[in-house]
Amino acid sequence: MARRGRDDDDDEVEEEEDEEEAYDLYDDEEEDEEDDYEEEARRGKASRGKGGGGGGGRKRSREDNFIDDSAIEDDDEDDDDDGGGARPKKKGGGGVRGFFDEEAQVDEDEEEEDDGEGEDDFINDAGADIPDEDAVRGSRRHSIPMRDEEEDIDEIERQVRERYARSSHIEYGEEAAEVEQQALLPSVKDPKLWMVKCAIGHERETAICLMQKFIDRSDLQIKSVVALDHLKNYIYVEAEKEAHVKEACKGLRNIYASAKITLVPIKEMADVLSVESKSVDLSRDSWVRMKLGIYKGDLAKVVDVDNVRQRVDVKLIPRIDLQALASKLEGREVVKKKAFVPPPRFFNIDEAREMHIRVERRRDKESGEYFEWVDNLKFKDGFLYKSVSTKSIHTNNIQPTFDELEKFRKPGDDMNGDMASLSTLFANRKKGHFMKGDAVIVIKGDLKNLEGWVEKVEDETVHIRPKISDLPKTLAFNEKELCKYFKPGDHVKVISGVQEGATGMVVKVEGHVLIILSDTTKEHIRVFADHVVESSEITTGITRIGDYELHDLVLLDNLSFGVIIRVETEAFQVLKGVPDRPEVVLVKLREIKNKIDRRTSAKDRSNNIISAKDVVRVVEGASRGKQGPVEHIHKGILFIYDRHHLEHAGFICAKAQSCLLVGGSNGGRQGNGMDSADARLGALRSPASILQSPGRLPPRGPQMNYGGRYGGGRGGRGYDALVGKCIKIKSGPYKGYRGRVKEVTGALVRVELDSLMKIVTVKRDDIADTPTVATPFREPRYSLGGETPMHPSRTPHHAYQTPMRDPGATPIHDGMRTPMRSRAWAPMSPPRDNWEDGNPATWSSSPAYQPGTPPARPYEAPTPGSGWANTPGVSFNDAPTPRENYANAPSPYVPSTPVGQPMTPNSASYLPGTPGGQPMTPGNVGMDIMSPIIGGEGEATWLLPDVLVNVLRGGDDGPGVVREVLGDGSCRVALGSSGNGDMVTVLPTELEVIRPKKSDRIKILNGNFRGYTGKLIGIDGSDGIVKLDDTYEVKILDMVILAKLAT
Amino acid sequence: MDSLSQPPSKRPLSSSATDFREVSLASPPAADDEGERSKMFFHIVLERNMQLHPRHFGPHLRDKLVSKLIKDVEGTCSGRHGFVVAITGVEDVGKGLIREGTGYVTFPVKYQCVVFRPFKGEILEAVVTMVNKMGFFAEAGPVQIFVSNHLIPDDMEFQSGDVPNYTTSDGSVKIQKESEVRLKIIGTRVDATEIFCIGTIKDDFLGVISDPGAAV
Amino acid sequence: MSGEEEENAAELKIGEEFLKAKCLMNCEVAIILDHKFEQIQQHASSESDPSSQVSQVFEKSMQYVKRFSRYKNPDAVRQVRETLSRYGLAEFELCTLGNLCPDTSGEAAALVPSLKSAGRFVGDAGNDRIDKMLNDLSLIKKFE
Repeated sequence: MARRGRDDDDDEVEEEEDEEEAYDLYDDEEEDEEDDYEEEARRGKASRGKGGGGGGGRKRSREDNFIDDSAIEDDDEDDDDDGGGARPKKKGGGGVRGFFDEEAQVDEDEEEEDDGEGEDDFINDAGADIPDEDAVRGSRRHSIPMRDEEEDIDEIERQVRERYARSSHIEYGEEAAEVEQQALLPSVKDPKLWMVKCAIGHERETAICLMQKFIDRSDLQIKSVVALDHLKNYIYVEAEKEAHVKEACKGLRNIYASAKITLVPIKEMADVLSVESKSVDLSRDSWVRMKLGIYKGDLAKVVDVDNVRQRVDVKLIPRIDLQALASKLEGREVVKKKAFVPPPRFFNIDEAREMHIRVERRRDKESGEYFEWVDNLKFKDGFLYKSVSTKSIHTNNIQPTFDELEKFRKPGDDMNGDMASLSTLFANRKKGHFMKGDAVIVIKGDLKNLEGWVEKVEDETVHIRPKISDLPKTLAFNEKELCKYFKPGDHVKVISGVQEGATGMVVKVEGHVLIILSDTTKEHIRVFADHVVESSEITTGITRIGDYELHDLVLLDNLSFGVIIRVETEAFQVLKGVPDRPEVVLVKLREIKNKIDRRTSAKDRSNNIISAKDVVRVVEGASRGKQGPVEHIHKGILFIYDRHHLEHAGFICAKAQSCLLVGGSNGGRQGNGMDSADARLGALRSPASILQSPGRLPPRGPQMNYGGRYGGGRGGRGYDALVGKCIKIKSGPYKGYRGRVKEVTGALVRVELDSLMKIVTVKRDDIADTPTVATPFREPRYSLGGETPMHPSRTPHHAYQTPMRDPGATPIHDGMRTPMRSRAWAPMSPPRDNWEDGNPATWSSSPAYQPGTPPARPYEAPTPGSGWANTPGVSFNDAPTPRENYANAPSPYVPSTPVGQPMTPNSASYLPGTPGGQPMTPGNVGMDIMSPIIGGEGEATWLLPDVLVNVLRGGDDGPGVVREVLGDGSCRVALGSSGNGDMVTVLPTELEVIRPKKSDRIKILNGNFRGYTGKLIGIDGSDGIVKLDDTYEVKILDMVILAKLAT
Repeated sequence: MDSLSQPPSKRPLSSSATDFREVSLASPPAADDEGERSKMFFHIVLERNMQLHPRHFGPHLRDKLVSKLIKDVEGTCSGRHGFVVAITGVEDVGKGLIREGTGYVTFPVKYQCVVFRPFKGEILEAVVTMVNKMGFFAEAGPVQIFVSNHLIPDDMEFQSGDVPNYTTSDGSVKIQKESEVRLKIIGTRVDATEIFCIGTIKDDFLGVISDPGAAV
Repeated sequence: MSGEEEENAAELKIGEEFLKAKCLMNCEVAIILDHKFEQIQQHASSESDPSSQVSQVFEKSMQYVKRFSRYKNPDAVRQVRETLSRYGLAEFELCTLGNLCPDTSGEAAALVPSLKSAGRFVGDAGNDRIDKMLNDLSLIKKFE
């Protein structure tokens, strides 16, 4: 601070300062900073001049607000130095400044006599009182250059307005604590404020006249004049005595001689000049939203405010239909489409010119800027500039979204410099925005960019502990001057805005905008610093839509399945269960049929059982080498989560057969398979200890684990990976025998020999693992079906589903080898015949259960849906509540059939003796049943006669009409759209119902109106509006259950 | 390795456990006082209470305990210590305490292990595993590091294509999959199963060390 | 969280629990892991894949340290530690230098800012000492 040095030597300083002040008078372009110092110095002198009287003290208090403490020191020094008061009075120009400066300044009564000297500046308008931030602090004098009297009045007006507009959003006393503010309030010692009536509409003019008069005549004893835009018919004059006011007003044509002059009570004085909060919102550069017209709801930025006429100039992104505009300009009639609102698009002159729209480029009279004019519309840089009434915009609580702001941002614009967007944001801060310990940065004022930590929050005042150590311990700021501050690397959570709930690490800080790397999507998110808090929590933004959540395994519309790897606003990204190559599809909520939420298991390459959460390694295929816990298993396909896999949210889809179970350290298996780590232990042990040769052991003991999980009577034993394994004895007296390990005791193993029906004890070293011939324990594995006493006790039909439990994973073992079960579902059992007819499951899957059928086939039956087809049967037989179903066996084939609904077609279909009505539409069955969206009405859709279908069988492709629905579910279909072709018998899987179009005649396949015919009179999304033939009632039904009727 | 024959210096569980220490750590005298500040790989002594079922009691109790320890601990990740890469030895197995009701016995086990824990501000080398328009991912052992394009020098631009990469305008420096980069960690996020970091190469002496052509 | 207490390796601020821990260079880790892996292989019989016996963390770490070890020979590794510890480096600094092998004192100071902070390598003399240290390292590498 150069000034400090100079202040030490009084005389020298004064000279210099005199010079500077003189300079000041002609140059108001002084830099703010410099101004500040000067001002300080001046103020110091002023107080000196008064001999350190009360006025000086008051000023000190103001200066204390000045957080810059070097500045304070500066001042201190001044005071010390001038203790003797040896300085000559320094009111040369200061007196005049005292006139136009704010009320506190004016309290220097003694200096009135100097007023005559000053004639350089006189501020006439309330707005001009606060021309910039510094003035706001109420602690400085501002110099305005002498104006040429000839100078364009417009220019002055414009500038005045500009100042006014710019300043109106700045509040008074931002940096002052309340008490300090109090000290600034006028007291009895101060000049009074008088209200003077003047000609209506001429308030400003009157004020300017008074200013001119003050400049012309040195004897006027008024201090200031204020004209308020919102106050018509009056101006305020600040003066000691009423007589002074009268004197000043004498002869002005806008003030009637008879006009009453009223004294404003001291208490109200402050109110006169306080800025209404409303105008805070309506400042230039603030964000507003349009209330009316095609721009309704659009974000706009205020470019100019006219408080008198209550109009605002805004810029917004035009919604202009150039085509329509062109037509209109050419005088053609424009058909006004009412509902059509053109999308917001930047105006492109070239495009417009191409369409022969005349674009004029004119200079705006007031601002001197160039605009493009088209048919009275004003454009600049692609934005539309529009003058609107203040009443037609929303000004409160505008929270522009990021996208909107981005659009408004010109490339290269510094977001941070955009104070308006900040202040708008700040207005929306919640209470308790800042908390102790928050890292903050100062964004306004002298201490801009100062960093610190919040110490204490009192209402709007936030005390912070600055980061720089040589500053005072704590500093007080208004919360509007602060912004939360984050550093790259901080882990944060978004607490408001579009991205609410997301967490991530800060990658970059651009002013008050943070770029965050989302934890889950590993993508960048841009958010306002104000919208985040530091957090160690990890979440994504939205993780669920409807019933589906991120990482759920879901069944899709076309009966494929996959894992949700990403949740977008209205759709999911699903990694499909195709093992060869990763296939990601974007699906809408309605395209998901249900969540696959059952515990299945699959077998790895070595026939180890893999259950969810087991760690596996992919040993072949595209994802070879990947490793991680299994998240989902479905139809022999594993979804593995490898956190090193960067794509697809870390999910890998692989065939179970391409994977190997590995040792690892995942929870879930604690307490089992102790020996699996033997190899690793071996590494720790001396190489000599080969007693338990670990290499022989399989990496893990999944079977055993399995037994434990299901508690299938083997709980106590089986803590060894080997237990339950099928092994071959490779040496010793039993060499060559195969068997299953029953128990492991140290180095000895008890093995149940397959061929000899006895259990023998062999040395562990004598056995070899034989994964290839493994017929692992069936009992525990199929405990659901085999061991739970409940199941066998049910009707034999239940057994139909047994194979379904493991449709893809373990097709062979189920039925083929367990005698009990094969008995149970031998399809020929007489009592079931009749059911079988009604049981759609048999249509698709019965061949599968014929003993001797190649085992793989049934489960991977033509339509994956086939496995599900038996659902209705199940629910009918078991008739449990859906809830129970889920609880017992969370498998997809158990539908949420509301059994209570007597009219659901499935119940109907199971009535013995109604064989005709049971066929079903293959494509829909499984899905509709499961679909929670479609609900009751959407149960299996059975075909009905006369329905138009598409035959999807090789050779017979084409439309056809269902003539008869056979007992086994297939249909007799007459080919041809009118049904006059050949009759063929087609499996339901080879049929597709033809969906009706509007005005088509339809037949209802499902729900309470099954079998009814009617006319589709309208389609609303997924709903069809149907007029029934019989009753002429109009019904709204799901399109899925409507079929086109053959004509 | 002749160091294998050196006599064990600490109370070893078994001779080989100590051997590790001898191989790598024993020599310098300064290293003996357990070091003071560390880097991403540490040799550290941790303690864990192990529960063991009584059926494992017997001559091999200690082995059982250790094998369970290995199984439970190796490969895990904790916020405090990072990834436990390998257990190198067991220092001490305390007295077992029988848990009431269950019969399980809890043993406090002190073990030495190599852990891997990246720190903010640390500079390390990593292999690029994926490049996209938002930046690139790199791997340093089990730890993943993301370097955002905001933290890649401004003169490097993203080039899409078969091998997406970041390249300087003159083409002299290229970051693509398998490139080796030297980066500085600016943030870490540790959760129960993984450590994820963000890093920067926008600083002096950071950036590509070798491109895949040069790297084997 | 007040930003002051957080860890920062550059300023040698790391967690308390690591104060007692010993820091390892990549090459040291490579030797340890290699040794351990060998033993696992010995113990694991031929029929099971040894890589399935180790955790992914182990595997990844091993790949990493092998790739980024400047010194392969255990003797060289020992020499590096000896050499560096003669210069009164903290463990962390030692390992960073040992891992990154900077070429110049400027690079070393940029990579390990704490070198300059503790008053050990001040001014030109400090730079010379750093250069000497780096030179020692490169000699080890040369004669490895």
